[in-house]
Amino acid sequence: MKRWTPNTILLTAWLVFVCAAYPGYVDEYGVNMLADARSAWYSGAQSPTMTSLWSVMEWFIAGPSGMFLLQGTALLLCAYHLMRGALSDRASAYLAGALLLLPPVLATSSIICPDAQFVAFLLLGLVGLRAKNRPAQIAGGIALLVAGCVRPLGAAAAFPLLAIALPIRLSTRWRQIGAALIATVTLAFISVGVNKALVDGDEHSKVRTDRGMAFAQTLGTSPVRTWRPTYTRFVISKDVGKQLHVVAKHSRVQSAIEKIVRASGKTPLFYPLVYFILEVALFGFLAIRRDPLPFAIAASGMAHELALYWVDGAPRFEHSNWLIISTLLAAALSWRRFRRPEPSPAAPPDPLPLAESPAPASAA
Amino acid sequence: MGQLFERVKVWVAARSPRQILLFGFALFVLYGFPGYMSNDSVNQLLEARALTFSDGHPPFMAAEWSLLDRIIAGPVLMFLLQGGLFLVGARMIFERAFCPRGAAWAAIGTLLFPPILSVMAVIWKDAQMAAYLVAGTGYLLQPRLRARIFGLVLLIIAALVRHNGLVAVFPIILLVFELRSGMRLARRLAVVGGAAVVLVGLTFGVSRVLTTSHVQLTPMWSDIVGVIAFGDTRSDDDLREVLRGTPLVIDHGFQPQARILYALRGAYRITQGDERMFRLAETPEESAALSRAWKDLVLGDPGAYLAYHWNDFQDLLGMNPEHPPGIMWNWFLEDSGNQVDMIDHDATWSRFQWRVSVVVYWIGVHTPLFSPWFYALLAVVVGLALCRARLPAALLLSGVLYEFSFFPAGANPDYRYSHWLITSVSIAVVLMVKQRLTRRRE
Repeated sequence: MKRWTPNTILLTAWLVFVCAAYPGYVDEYGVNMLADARSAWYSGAQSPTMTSLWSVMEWFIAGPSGMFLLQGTALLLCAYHLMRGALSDRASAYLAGALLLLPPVLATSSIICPDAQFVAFLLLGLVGLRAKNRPAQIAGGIALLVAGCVRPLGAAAAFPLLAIALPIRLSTRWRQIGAALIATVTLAFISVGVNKALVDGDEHSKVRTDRGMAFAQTLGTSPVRTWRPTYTRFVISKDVGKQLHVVAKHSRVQSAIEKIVRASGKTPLFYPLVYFILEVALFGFLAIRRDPLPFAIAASGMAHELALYWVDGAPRFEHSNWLIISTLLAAALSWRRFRRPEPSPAAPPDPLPLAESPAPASAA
Repeated sequence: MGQLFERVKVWVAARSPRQILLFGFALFVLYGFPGYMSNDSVNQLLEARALTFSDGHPPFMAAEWSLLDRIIAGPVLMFLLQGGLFLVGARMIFERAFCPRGAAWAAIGTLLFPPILSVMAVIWKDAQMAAYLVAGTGYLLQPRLRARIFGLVLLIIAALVRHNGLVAVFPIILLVFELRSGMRLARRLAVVGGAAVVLVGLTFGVSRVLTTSHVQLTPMWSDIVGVIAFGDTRSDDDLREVLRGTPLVIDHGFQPQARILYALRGAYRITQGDERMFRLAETPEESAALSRAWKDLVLGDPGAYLAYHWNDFQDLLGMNPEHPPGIMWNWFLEDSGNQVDMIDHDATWSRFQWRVSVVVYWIGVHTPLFSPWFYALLAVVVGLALCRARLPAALLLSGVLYEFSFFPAGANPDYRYSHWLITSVSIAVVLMVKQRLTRRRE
């Protein structure tokens, strides 16, 4: 039997993703954002940057499908691109496909929400900044800026990534980190400014005061889960769908995939706490191993999750999307190191040895 | 500016055929996504979901849609299928005259040519047939026998998705299909004859097997009304005698009523609505009386029959001052108020779609590019002047014969009926001109 090429594997994974949830699920926030995008009047209740992104997408593809394809495709290709640095092409393609189709990732990537867009742009930014050519690096910087604007405190996730990928070479590591910090603070200020400039209304998302409780619920440690693990409706109601011209129904294939995702929603796969613990363990392991890319990705996931303590007024499973993806991505990137420690490179032969090496015993 | 233009030129020149095709396909998707639909499309989708296939529309297309609808509900997979098949087939056809990159450019140029694009973006049997015909022709040109057999299968499907699709398929099989290269003419004709028999057998067999409810499609109603309308003045008593036993709903003023119905268009009006002249036949006696009346009228006044059909055919070719209807179809649903609930699907235009639609419509109204007569003329003139090979001849013959198959059908003229004429002539003309230029250079 012929072995599948990486392109075939990626295409298959992409097609399964599209078949699973096309044209994308739109929840109440999505409905508001789409309505805002079409009316060009942005309320502050949702992410105004994502609303404006959606309005740009509406120029080319109306409805949720453009955003759905963007977030799924970016996640798949960026994960593949990052893994290629550590694994073979085929293994990277298989793992990237598996990452996209893993129920907790698929569940969020199927919803048109800021969390899925945030991950897409964050990864696009990381890949772009690590590229060799200047236009790709500029595009990566812009993508990272968009990621920072899409989610409140998104800049927190950008800092570890900037620390390893900022295309400025400074003499010491601490200077490099300092530059990344300055870039992160700038990014945070710009994102606040952009979002303020985009908002037309006075309505802003409200942050609850009981932060500890909200954060516990975000991680899933609270005895009562206030969020739903999966959302699988194409639009919140048919009447709303008719008004927005977003009406779709599940095909048989989609219904079958939906059942699997819903069933796995009751398993620990959908508990962010599991990923948080895993990421902490991975973080320690990678700190010892000194593997910068997976370390930065794990740090970014943790930073973003911890930042939710301050901004997550209404905990949802989707908010932990980057935590889950970063954990899995960092684990995949450090997989080889788990299997066997990398041998230290052999020292080059001395071109002018002090003495001749002793002859083998047999020859003597 | 010049430097930038040069850099863009170099970049474009470095693109591979696959990248060019992907670019063209992306533009096609942006234009029509997720696929436009009319009442016919909705009816076929409903049949596909209910798995009850009538032969009012070719049942194969509904069966095909029912399969795709199980993967992703709605029109999107049908839309991608017809666009993809067309592009792949057109590339293979153009590779006979162009280099691979040239063939890719010519293929996307054909798909995005407004008179072709405006129908290819709609989920219609006409678009499906054109896609299967182009892909089938492309595969018939391939060196491997397996690919050529696959081409035959695609052509059989093309014949299955329209009632008169066989007419378009025959010339292509006759002139393009080769079991082995270098066969003697007699043997080749025998093989082609065998393939044609298989084609006809499969076309009728598959349609019959798939059909679960029969719909009587007959030109009799239109012919009776058309012949009375175009015939010499006849008295009511005379016509009452001819139409005796038929399910008439009026008892006088037959000829004026027939002329009103013809002027109003819409064959359905003959048996439905306020102006109707008949009701549908309910007994075998009424059907027999209709057949007799049809024979009496058509054979008694063949001039009126031909005049009426010629007038319709002129409408179809766009030779009358009014354009044939439907030169630009960009509705996602024709009656969205009711159909959204029926099929659980709705969509709206992106700004890009809307603007391109406006441009396409403008071209349709202000240029002869959307006039089928222009392509019929082109087929005759350019075909006679330049056609020196079997492939363009097959395409021209296929398009022209298919167009003529509407002459006796008596269907209400619609732009999409001429889509295959326009597509086949466009592809054939590009091929002939390119081959001529290449020969002249050599």
